[in-house]
Amino acid sequence: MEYPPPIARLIDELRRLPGIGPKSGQRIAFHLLRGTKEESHRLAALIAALLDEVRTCGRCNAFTDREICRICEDPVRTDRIICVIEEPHSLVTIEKAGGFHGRYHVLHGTIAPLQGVGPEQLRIQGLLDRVREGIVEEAILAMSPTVEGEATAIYLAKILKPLGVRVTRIATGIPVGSEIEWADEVTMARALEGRREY
Amino acid sequence: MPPISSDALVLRTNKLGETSKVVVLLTRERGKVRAVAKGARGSRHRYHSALEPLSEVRVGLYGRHGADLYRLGQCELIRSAYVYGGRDLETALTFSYYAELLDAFSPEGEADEKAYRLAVAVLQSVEQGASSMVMARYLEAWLLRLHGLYPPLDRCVSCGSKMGEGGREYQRSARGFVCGRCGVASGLSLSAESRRFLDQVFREPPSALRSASVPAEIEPFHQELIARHLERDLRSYRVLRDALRTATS
Repeated sequence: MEYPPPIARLIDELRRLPGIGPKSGQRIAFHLLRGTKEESHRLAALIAALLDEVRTCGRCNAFTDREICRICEDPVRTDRIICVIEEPHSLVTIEKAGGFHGRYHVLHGTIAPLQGVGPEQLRIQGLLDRVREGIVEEAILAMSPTVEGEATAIYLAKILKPLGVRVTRIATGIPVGSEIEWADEVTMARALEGRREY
Repeated sequence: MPPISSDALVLRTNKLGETSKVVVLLTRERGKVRAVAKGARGSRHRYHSALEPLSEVRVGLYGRHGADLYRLGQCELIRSAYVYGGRDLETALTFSYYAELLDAFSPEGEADEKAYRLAVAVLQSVEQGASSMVMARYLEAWLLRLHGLYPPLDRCVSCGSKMGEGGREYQRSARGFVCGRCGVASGLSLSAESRRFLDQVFREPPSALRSASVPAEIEPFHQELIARHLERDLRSYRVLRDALRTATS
């Protein structure tokens, strides 16, 4: 049996979203059908407003609803340390951890040669401009420990160091709550390399 | 059904849904295959670093012979390219180029043990300190040769006469090197130094070329042969060249 066109069209649209297949699309569509008109209108209005109201911060490229994001405008945070991250959602993860009180710079990707993504496709120029202002003392490279993340970190280190800024890379090692016997050789080697005085 | 067991090189991965990946593997026994690695994303997945490009792994694949998409079971890391691949920018980017090159020259499901052994030998040489750029030329030359695309260096492609010790003139229309009697070169020329380098490439294992210097004209010559065969340029090669240029400018 085929669904009535409005339901079929909604399922087709939902299927275009990441992680949603035909079954999930169907579940969401029927969940909406069981709800009220007000709930559906509210959701539709929020989706419609998303691209109108959300933009990237003029300084750090994080998603924000203002010209300059709250983190960039926060007077309590230091301008001397910039944490360079791949994607806007990495910012949320680092903020949840607490502990970091500097600024951010979002690249919106990594150098990914197999996808044809080179340095020109990333938001690197803005980072260089910020460092050249002379206030930044340290750039923390917080890319994922993958081949692409590592290539991006090496590239950034190469272009940032000549500007006289300290360049550091986040540590890699054994995740908290895991057991050493399940760690793979590469992670274990990195954990030993990055050991610290106790 | 018992798993298919094979040594393999990871060529690339693509995201699949929220938690999984499709892995493209160059296996020793079955050539290039694709497999779903369920739950391969996230911090506690069981494959750890084994699915990073150019990792050498021992895999267990489930599915019928010749399937379009296998299911990846066991994936044991033999050698990780991640550690030495990250020693400098050139090596990190060149490794992506190796992966794309191997991917482009490997038809799906056709075992090619020579290509597999070549790739492993090249990676071992880089691990032991060889220049990743020298090894890129080595890999290109041998992949082209294994596919019958490298023109003979010792004789004229047109008249078959043996050519001397000097340089070589390439003729695009003849797809090979020609002697002085068989017309003028319409493409690139290779100097005597380049010919000697290529003689060494086709005679010696990659480890013997660790400290060799590559004449500059070899790279565009190989790129021309590769682009002509694939009918496209490799994306990773463009990124490699752009990134190295902007990193040093």
